Amino acid sequence: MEMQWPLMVFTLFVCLGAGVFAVQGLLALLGKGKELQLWALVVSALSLVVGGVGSFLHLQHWERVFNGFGHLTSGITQELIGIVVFALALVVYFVMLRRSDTGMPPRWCAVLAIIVAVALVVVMALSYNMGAKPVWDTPLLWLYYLSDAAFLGFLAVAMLAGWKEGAIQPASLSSPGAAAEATASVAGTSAGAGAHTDAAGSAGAVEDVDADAPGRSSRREAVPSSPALAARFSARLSWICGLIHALAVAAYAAFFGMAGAAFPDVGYYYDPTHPTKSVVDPSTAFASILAEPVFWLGAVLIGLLVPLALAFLAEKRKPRQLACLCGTGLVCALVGGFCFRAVLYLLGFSVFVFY
Amino acid sequence: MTQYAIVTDLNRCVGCLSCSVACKAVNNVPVGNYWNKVLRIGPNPVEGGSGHFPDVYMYFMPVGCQHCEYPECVEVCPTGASQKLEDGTVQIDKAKCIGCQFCAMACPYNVRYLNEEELAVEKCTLCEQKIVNGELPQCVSQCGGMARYFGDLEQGLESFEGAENGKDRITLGSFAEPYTDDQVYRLPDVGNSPNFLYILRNHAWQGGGQ
Repeated sequence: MEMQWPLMVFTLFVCLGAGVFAVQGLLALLGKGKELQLWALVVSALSLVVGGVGSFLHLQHWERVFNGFGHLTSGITQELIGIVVFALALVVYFVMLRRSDTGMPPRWCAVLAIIVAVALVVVMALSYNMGAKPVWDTPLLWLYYLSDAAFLGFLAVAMLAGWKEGAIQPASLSSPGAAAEATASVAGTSAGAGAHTDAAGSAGAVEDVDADAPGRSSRREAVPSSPALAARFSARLSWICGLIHALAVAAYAAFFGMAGAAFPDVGYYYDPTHPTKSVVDPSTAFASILAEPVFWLGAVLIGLLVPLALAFLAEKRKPRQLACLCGTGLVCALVGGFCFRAVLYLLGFSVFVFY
Repeated sequence: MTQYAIVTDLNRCVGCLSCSVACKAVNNVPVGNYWNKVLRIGPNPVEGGSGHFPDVYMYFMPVGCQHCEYPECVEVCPTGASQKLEDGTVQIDKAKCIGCQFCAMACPYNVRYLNEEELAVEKCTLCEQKIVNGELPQCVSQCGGMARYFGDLEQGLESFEGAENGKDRITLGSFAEPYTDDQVYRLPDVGNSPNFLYILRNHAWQGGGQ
């Protein structure tokens, strides 16, 4: 079917916004990255705005949405409800962040962020599960959107965290180990939390925070929540989520091959109304899409392998380099996400393809 | 309950495209849009034949909105612009349509079009303006092969009426060649239960569905 560019922008940036919101909620739960909470919120809100503008551009008569937009079985209505709830959650998160003495939102708010973000992505995927389009009508679409959101979210937050760390730390302290040590010493924690290896440091931080009661802010302040820890944690999670995302894309590619069976075969046919139009053969289209640059170059190479490699390299780098690598990876992942969505539209044949 | 529908006798359809042209003229369908289109299925080899001419067959099949029992287009419409009426037809209240085109995506048959001037989605209305006055849809009354019949599925196929043969309308029961229940087909069903029927005798149905 025809490309629906605004909807591709919408689904891509909703994934980014939801991913960033969920990741910052996760970091808040783990007591990491308090310096980047506000910035992550801004990125998430901006993504939502870009996605929202995209979806409105898709509407031919957007002014009529005020006439009545309440048909609840419609995926679009559900998406709208999801977006309103998401926007409200952003506002609540912002207010709780500003009112907090520790610079971190309360745990319930962090959990709310994760739940709302996941719910929005699932609702969005559900609205494209249509029996009329065999390639879209699969739970793989959920998996793809969710893993895309996680990949984009961790890359964006890692970039933000690296950038914040690079901005506040003197050059001499900007190596990851030194930064962690500096933070730990300022916070007055034991060597366990400020360990050179991030894994040990992260684990220590998690345990400390998990032991915290929500109201015990003095205890919470003792937790190292430096951007450096958050950056490396996010970079690591981004390549792990990137691997899951790669599996989702691979599973979808395999599904393309099988989806041909869902289309009726009428043998030879001809459309006298469009005598020069080529005959549509979904099974051939599915097989040939894997050789199209939009798939192997855009969605796989640029959109998956490059950001995966960059995120992997970024984990052990200094904050500024980490920010650059993850930022580049984020741009590549966005391009890849756009290309894969284009593939989904290119293969978005109706069950009855001949009309 | 009423469920208006069209039955097409594919053994009589000659592929003249009269239904397509008549629909365009009466409903002012914009250039490039089709509420009704005729497809040629085949030539496909006859079972047990040589696989080559003359052991082949083909038939023509008019396709449009199937006015489904459980229309996907109505389910996905965010504003309720697409509705299933009491007469069983699926109609679009264009004043409510926001032009999101999700109905066009959700339609298994691809028969919905965006009107580029009105910026609203359109499709076959089963000539609502005519049938409320007791007239036949234009694709039925102008069918060159006298292959199309309009009626209420609840009243049985025999009661379906076709074009005038002289001065009276033909009925499927009196005019059509005999057929059996297993020679009546529908387009592929993905849960929407299409209501339009196709009669095809002595050939293999190739349209998917059953």
